[in-house]
Amino acid sequence: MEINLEILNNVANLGSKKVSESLSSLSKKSVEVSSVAAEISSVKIILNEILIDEDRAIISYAQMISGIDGMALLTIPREEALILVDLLSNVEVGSTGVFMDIDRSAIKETLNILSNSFLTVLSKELKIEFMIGSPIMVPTTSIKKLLEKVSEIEKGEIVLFTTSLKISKHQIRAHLYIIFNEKLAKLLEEIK
Amino acid sequence: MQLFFSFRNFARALKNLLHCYINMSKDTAKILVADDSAFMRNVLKNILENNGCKNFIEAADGNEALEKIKTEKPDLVLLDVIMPNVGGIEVIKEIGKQFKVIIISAVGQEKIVKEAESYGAIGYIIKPFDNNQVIEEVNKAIG
Repeated sequence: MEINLEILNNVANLGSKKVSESLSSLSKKSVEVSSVAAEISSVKIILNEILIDEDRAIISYAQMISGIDGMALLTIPREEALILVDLLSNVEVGSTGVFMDIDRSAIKETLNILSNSFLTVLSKELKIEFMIGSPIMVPTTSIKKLLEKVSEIEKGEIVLFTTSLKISKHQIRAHLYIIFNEKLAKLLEEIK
Repeated sequence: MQLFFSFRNFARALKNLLHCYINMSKDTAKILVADDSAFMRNVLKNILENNGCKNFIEAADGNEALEKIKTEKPDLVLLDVIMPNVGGIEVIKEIGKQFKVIIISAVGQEKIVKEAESYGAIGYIIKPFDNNQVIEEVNKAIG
Protein backbone atom coordinates (compact mmCIF):
# COMPACT_ATOMS: atom_id res chain seq x y z
CA MET A 1 0.00 0.00 0.00
CA GLU A 2 1.51 3.29 -1.16
CA ILE A 3 0.28 5.95 1.20
CA ASN A 4 2.50 8.84 2.17
CA LEU A 5 2.03 11.42 4.88
CA GLU A 6 1.21 14.15 2.39
CA ILE A 7 -1.82 12.22 1.15
CA LEU A 8 -2.83 11.36 4.71
CA ASN A 9 -2.68 14.97 5.87
CA ASN A 10 -4.76 16.04 2.91
CA VAL A 11 -7.32 13.33 3.68
CA ALA A 12 -7.30 14.32 7.36
CA ASN A 13 -8.02 17.96 6.51
CA LEU A 14 -10.72 17.30 3.93
CA GLY A 15 -12.18 14.45 5.99
CA SER A 16 -12.42 16.52 9.15
CA LYS A 17 -14.14 19.29 7.22
CA LYS A 18 -16.65 16.73 5.99
CA VAL A 19 -17.09 15.40 9.54
CA SER A 20 -17.87 18.83 10.96
CA GLU A 21 -20.34 19.59 8.14
CA SER A 22 -21.96 16.21 8.62
CA LEU A 23 -22.40 16.32 12.36
CA SER A 24 -23.42 19.95 12.32
CA SER A 25 -26.15 19.13 9.79
CA LEU A 26 -27.37 16.27 11.98
CA SER A 27 -27.20 18.07 15.33
CA LYS A 28 -28.05 21.54 13.96
CA LYS A 29 -25.22 22.88 16.12
CA SER A 30 -21.76 24.17 15.47
CA VAL A 31 -19.23 21.40 15.31
CA GLU A 32 -15.51 21.84 15.61
CA VAL A 33 -13.15 19.02 14.88
CA SER A 34 -10.64 19.95 17.53
CA SER A 35 -7.80 17.66 16.68
CA VAL A 36 -7.04 15.57 13.68
CA ALA A 37 -3.97 13.51 13.36
CA ALA A 38 -2.97 11.41 10.42
CA GLU A 39 0.01 9.24 10.90
CA ILE A 40 1.66 6.04 9.89
CA SER A 41 1.93 4.48 13.26
CA SER A 42 1.59 1.27 15.27
CA VAL A 43 -1.30 -0.51 16.95
CA LYS A 44 0.46 0.01 20.29
CA ILE A 45 -0.34 3.72 20.17
CA ILE A 46 -4.06 3.05 20.15
CA LEU A 47 -3.62 0.49 22.87
CA ASN A 48 -1.87 3.07 25.02
CA GLU A 49 -4.57 5.64 24.42
CA ILE A 50 -7.29 3.21 25.37
CA LEU A 51 -5.36 2.13 28.44
CA ILE A 52 -5.02 5.74 29.59
CA ASP A 53 -8.78 5.88 29.87
CA GLU A 54 -9.05 2.59 31.67
CA ASP A 55 -10.48 4.20 34.79
CA ARG A 56 -13.41 5.53 32.78
CA ALA A 57 -16.12 3.59 31.04
CA ILE A 58 -15.54 3.69 27.32
CA ILE A 59 -18.09 2.90 24.68
CA SER A 60 -16.52 1.42 21.59
CA TYR A 61 -17.92 0.55 18.20
CA ALA A 62 -16.04 -1.12 15.39
CA GLN A 63 -16.71 -1.76 11.73
CA MET A 64 -14.84 -3.67 9.07
CA ILE A 65 -13.31 -2.00 6.06
CA SER A 66 -12.66 -3.79 2.82
CA GLY A 67 -10.84 -2.51 -0.25
CA ILE A 68 -7.74 -2.18 1.83
CA ASP A 69 -8.68 -4.41 4.74
CA GLY A 70 -8.92 -2.82 8.11
CA MET A 71 -11.11 -1.55 10.87
CA ALA A 72 -12.72 1.72 11.90
CA LEU A 73 -12.92 2.10 15.65
CA LEU A 74 -14.81 4.73 17.59
CA THR A 75 -14.24 5.20 21.31
CA ILE A 76 -16.10 7.66 23.51
CA PRO A 77 -16.11 8.02 27.30
CA ARG A 78 -19.56 6.98 28.49
CA GLU A 79 -20.49 10.38 29.98
CA GLU A 80 -19.57 12.14 26.77
CA ALA A 81 -21.45 9.57 24.70
CA LEU A 82 -24.57 10.48 26.68
CA ILE A 83 -23.99 14.15 25.85
CA LEU A 84 -23.45 13.27 22.19
CA VAL A 85 -26.75 11.40 22.08
CA ASP A 86 -28.57 14.44 23.54
CA LEU A 87 -26.92 16.77 21.05
CA LEU A 88 -27.74 14.55 18.07
CA SER A 89 -31.31 14.04 19.27
CA ASN A 90 -31.74 17.80 19.74
CA VAL A 91 -32.75 17.48 23.38
CA GLU A 92 -31.33 19.25 26.43
CA VAL A 93 -27.94 17.96 27.50
CA GLY A 94 -28.42 15.76 30.54
CA SER A 95 -31.71 14.27 29.30
CA THR A 96 -30.20 10.86 28.59
CA GLY A 97 -29.08 9.05 31.71
CA VAL A 98 -29.21 5.45 30.60
CA PHE A 99 -28.42 4.13 27.13
CA MET A 100 -31.46 2.79 25.34
CA ASP A 101 -31.36 1.04 21.95
CA ILE A 102 -32.18 4.28 20.18
CA ASP A 103 -29.20 5.99 21.86
CA ARG A 104 -26.82 3.21 20.88
CA SER A 105 -27.96 3.55 17.31
CA ALA A 106 -27.17 7.28 17.41
CA ILE A 107 -23.58 6.38 18.36
CA LYS A 108 -23.48 3.77 15.58
CA GLU A 109 -24.61 6.41 13.12
CA THR A 110 -21.86 8.71 14.38
CA LEU A 111 -19.26 6.05 13.58
CA ASN A 112 -20.80 5.59 10.13
CA ILE A 113 -20.61 9.31 9.41
CA LEU A 114 -17.09 9.73 10.77
CA SER A 115 -15.56 6.77 8.98
CA ASN A 116 -17.35 7.47 5.70
CA SER A 117 -16.20 11.09 5.77
CA PHE A 118 -12.56 10.02 5.82
CA LEU A 119 -12.89 6.98 3.58
CA THR A 120 -14.74 8.87 0.84
CA VAL A 121 -11.88 11.36 0.62
CA LEU A 122 -9.26 8.62 0.86
CA SER A 123 -11.05 6.66 -1.86
CA LYS A 124 -10.76 9.63 -4.23
CA GLU A 125 -7.10 10.24 -3.37
CA LEU A 126 -6.02 6.63 -3.77
CA LYS A 127 -8.54 5.67 -6.46
CA ILE A 128 -9.53 2.65 -4.37
CA GLU A 129 -13.10 1.70 -3.55
CA PHE A 130 -13.68 1.04 0.12
CA MET A 131 -16.65 -0.75 1.55
CA ILE A 132 -17.49 -0.67 5.23
CA GLY A 133 -19.51 -3.08 7.31
CA SER A 134 -22.27 -2.39 9.76
CA PRO A 135 -20.92 -1.04 13.07
CA ILE A 136 -20.95 -3.40 16.02
CA MET A 137 -20.64 -2.48 19.67
CA VAL A 138 -17.56 -4.18 21.06
CA PRO A 139 -16.63 -4.21 24.75
CA THR A 140 -13.41 -2.26 25.32
CA THR A 141 -11.80 -5.35 26.86
CA SER A 142 -12.38 -7.26 23.60
CA ILE A 143 -10.97 -4.38 21.58
CA LYS A 144 -7.86 -4.36 23.77
CA LYS A 145 -7.41 -8.12 23.38
CA LEU A 146 -7.84 -7.82 19.64
CA LEU A 147 -5.32 -4.99 19.35
CA GLU A 148 -2.86 -6.81 21.61
CA LYS A 149 -3.05 -9.86 19.35
CA VAL A 150 -2.30 -7.73 16.29
CA SER A 151 0.40 -5.82 18.09
CA GLU A 152 2.18 -9.06 19.02
CA ILE A 153 2.25 -10.44 15.51
CA GLU A 154 2.39 -7.26 13.52
CA LYS A 155 5.65 -5.38 13.50
CA GLY A 156 4.75 -3.33 10.43
CA GLU A 157 3.24 0.10 10.19
CA ILE A 158 -0.40 0.97 10.11
CA VAL A 159 -2.26 4.01 8.85
CA LEU A 160 -4.06 5.84 11.55
CA PHE A 161 -6.51 8.71 11.65
CA THR A 162 -7.58 10.04 14.99
CA THR A 163 -10.04 12.82 15.57
CA SER A 164 -11.91 14.41 18.45
CA LEU A 165 -14.86 16.76 18.41
CA LYS A 166 -16.39 19.81 20.01
CA ILE A 167 -20.14 20.10 19.46
CA SER A 168 -21.69 23.37 20.57
CA LYS A 169 -19.79 24.07 23.82
CA HIS A 170 -19.30 20.43 24.66
CA GLN A 171 -16.01 18.69 24.25
CA ILE A 172 -16.67 15.15 23.05
CA ARG A 173 -13.61 12.99 23.08
CA ALA A 174 -14.95 10.81 20.32
CA HIS A 175 -11.83 9.21 18.95
CA LEU A 176 -12.02 7.67 15.54
CA TYR A 177 -9.23 5.37 14.50
CA ILE A 178 -9.08 4.07 10.97
CA ILE A 179 -6.58 1.27 10.97
CA PHE A 180 -5.60 -0.54 7.81
CA ASN A 181 -4.48 -3.94 8.82
CA GLU A 182 -5.53 -7.20 7.24
CA LYS A 183 -5.14 -9.28 10.41
CA LEU A 184 -7.21 -6.85 12.44
CA ALA A 185 -10.03 -7.08 9.90
CA LYS A 186 -9.98 -10.88 10.10
CA LEU A 187 -9.99 -10.86 13.90
CA LEU A 188 -12.93 -8.47 13.93
CA GLU A 189 -14.81 -10.74 11.56
CA GLU A 190 -14.29 -13.56 14.08
CA ILE A 191 -15.75 -11.44 16.88
CA LYS A 192 -18.82 -10.76 14.73
CA MET B 1 -64.06 38.05 -21.31
CA GLN B 2 -66.49 35.42 -19.99
CA LEU B 3 -64.45 32.74 -21.70
CA PHE B 4 -61.32 34.05 -19.94
CA PHE B 5 -63.00 33.80 -16.50
CA SER B 6 -64.30 30.30 -17.24
CA PHE B 7 -60.82 29.22 -18.22
CA ARG B 8 -59.35 30.82 -15.10
CA ASN B 9 -61.94 29.04 -12.88
CA PHE B 10 -61.23 25.76 -14.64
CA ALA B 11 -57.47 26.20 -14.13
CA ARG B 12 -58.00 27.02 -10.46
CA ALA B 13 -60.23 23.97 -9.98
CA LEU B 14 -57.68 21.76 -11.70
CA LYS B 15 -54.91 23.16 -9.52
CA ASN B 16 -56.96 22.45 -6.35
CA LEU B 17 -57.74 18.97 -7.57
CA LEU B 18 -54.07 18.25 -8.21
CA HIS B 19 -53.14 19.76 -4.85
CA CYS B 20 -55.65 17.43 -3.12
CA TYR B 21 -54.33 14.50 -5.08
CA ILE B 22 -50.72 15.28 -4.12
CA ASN B 23 -51.62 15.68 -0.43
CA MET B 24 -53.70 12.52 -0.53
CA SER B 25 -50.72 10.70 -2.06
CA LYS B 26 -48.47 11.85 0.75
CA ASP B 27 -51.09 10.86 3.30
CA THR B 28 -51.62 7.42 1.97
CA ALA B 29 -48.31 6.55 0.33
CA LYS B 30 -46.77 3.59 2.09
CA ILE B 31 -43.11 4.35 2.76
CA LEU B 32 -40.67 1.66 3.86
CA VAL B 33 -37.76 3.08 5.85
CA ALA B 34 -34.95 0.51 5.85
CA ASP B 35 -31.98 1.44 8.00
CA ASP B 36 -30.24 -0.57 10.72
CA SER B 37 -30.06 2.55 12.87
CA ALA B 38 -33.30 3.10 14.79
CA PHE B 39 -32.06 6.64 15.41
CA MET B 40 -31.84 7.33 11.68
CA ARG B 41 -35.23 5.72 11.01
CA ASN B 42 -36.74 8.11 13.57
CA VAL B 43 -34.97 11.12 12.07
CA LEU B 44 -36.30 10.24 8.60
CA LYS B 45 -39.82 9.55 9.83
CA ASN B 46 -39.92 12.89 11.69
CA ILE B 47 -38.83 14.78 8.58
CA LEU B 48 -41.44 13.04 6.45
CA GLU B 49 -44.22 13.35 9.04
CA ASN B 50 -43.65 17.11 9.00
CA ASN B 51 -44.06 16.88 5.23
CA GLY B 52 -47.48 15.23 5.58
CA CYS B 53 -46.49 11.56 5.19
CA LYS B 54 -48.21 9.23 7.61
CA ASN B 55 -47.94 5.68 6.48
CA PHE B 56 -44.61 4.13 7.44
CA ILE B 57 -43.21 0.67 7.73
CA GLU B 58 -39.72 -0.05 8.99
CA ALA B 59 -36.96 -2.57 8.43
CA ALA B 60 -33.76 -2.92 10.45
CA ASP B 61 -31.76 -4.94 7.92
CA GLY B 62 -31.73 -6.05 4.30
CA ASN B 63 -33.56 -9.33 4.94
CA GLU B 64 -36.38 -7.59 6.74
CA ALA B 65 -36.51 -4.98 3.98
CA LEU B 66 -36.86 -7.68 1.28
CA GLU B 67 -39.56 -9.44 3.25
CA LYS B 68 -41.54 -6.23 3.82
CA ILE B 69 -41.16 -5.14 0.20
CA LYS B 70 -42.70 -8.45 -0.90
CA THR B 71 -45.52 -8.52 1.65
CA GLU B 72 -46.34 -4.82 2.07
CA LYS B 73 -45.63 -3.61 -1.48
CA PRO B 74 -44.61 -0.08 -0.42
CA ASP B 75 -45.04 2.90 -2.73
CA LEU B 76 -41.55 4.06 -1.88
CA VAL B 77 -38.49 2.49 -0.26
CA LEU B 78 -35.88 4.58 1.55
CA LEU B 79 -32.92 2.26 1.69
CA ASP B 80 -29.61 2.39 3.56
CA VAL B 81 -26.56 0.73 1.97
CA ILE B 82 -24.70 -0.58 5.01
CA MET B 83 -26.97 -2.94 6.88
CA PRO B 84 -26.37 -6.25 8.62
CA ASN B 85 -27.00 -9.57 6.81
CA VAL B 86 -28.07 -8.20 3.45
CA GLY B 87 -26.90 -4.76 2.34
CA GLY B 88 -28.94 -2.16 0.47
CA ILE B 89 -27.24 -2.75 -2.88
CA GLU B 90 -28.16 -6.45 -2.73
CA VAL B 91 -31.74 -5.49 -1.87
CA ILE B 92 -32.13 -3.18 -4.84
CA LYS B 93 -30.42 -5.73 -7.08
CA GLU B 94 -33.03 -8.29 -6.10
CA ILE B 95 -36.13 -6.12 -6.40
CA GLY B 96 -34.93 -4.43 -9.56
CA LYS B 97 -37.06 -1.63 -10.93
CA GLN B 98 -40.39 -2.97 -9.64
CA PHE B 99 -40.34 -0.54 -6.71
CA LYS B 100 -39.35 3.09 -6.31
CA VAL B 101 -36.18 3.19 -4.27
CA ILE B 102 -34.25 6.14 -2.90
CA ILE B 103 -30.91 5.27 -1.34
CA ILE B 104 -30.06 7.22 1.81
CA SER B 105 -26.58 6.34 2.93
CA ALA B 106 -23.37 7.68 4.42
CA VAL B 107 -21.54 5.90 1.60
CA GLY B 108 -20.84 8.49 -1.05
CA GLN B 109 -18.33 6.68 -3.22
CA GLU B 110 -19.01 7.14 -6.90
CA LYS B 111 -18.90 3.44 -7.73
CA ILE B 112 -21.63 2.61 -5.20
CA VAL B 113 -23.81 5.52 -6.32
CA LYS B 114 -23.55 4.38 -9.97
CA GLU B 115 -24.18 0.76 -9.01
CA ALA B 116 -27.35 1.73 -7.13
CA GLU B 117 -28.56 3.81 -10.06
CA SER B 118 -27.86 1.00 -12.51
CA TYR B 119 -30.07 -1.33 -10.45
CA GLY B 120 -32.90 1.18 -10.56
CA ALA B 121 -32.52 3.62 -7.65
CA ILE B 122 -34.42 6.78 -8.52
CA GLY B 123 -32.43 8.88 -6.06
CA TYR B 124 -29.28 8.78 -3.96
CA ILE B 125 -29.00 10.98 -0.87
CA ILE B 126 -25.76 11.07 1.07
CA LYS B 127 -25.98 11.20 4.85
CA PRO B 128 -26.13 13.42 6.68
CA PHE B 129 -28.69 15.05 4.51
CA ASP B 130 -30.38 18.35 4.29
CA ASN B 131 -34.02 17.82 5.37
CA ASN B 132 -35.26 19.71 2.32
CA GLN B 133 -33.37 17.39 0.01
CA VAL B 134 -35.16 14.38 1.52
CA ILE B 135 -38.55 16.08 1.24
CA GLU B 136 -37.87 17.12 -2.35
CA GLU B 137 -36.80 13.62 -3.46
CA VAL B 138 -39.71 11.94 -1.66
CA ASN B 139 -42.23 14.39 -3.09
CA LYS B 140 -40.84 13.79 -6.55
CA ALA B 141 -41.22 10.04 -6.07
CA ILE B 142 -44.73 9.93 -4.63
CA GLY B 143 -46.20 13.19 -5.89
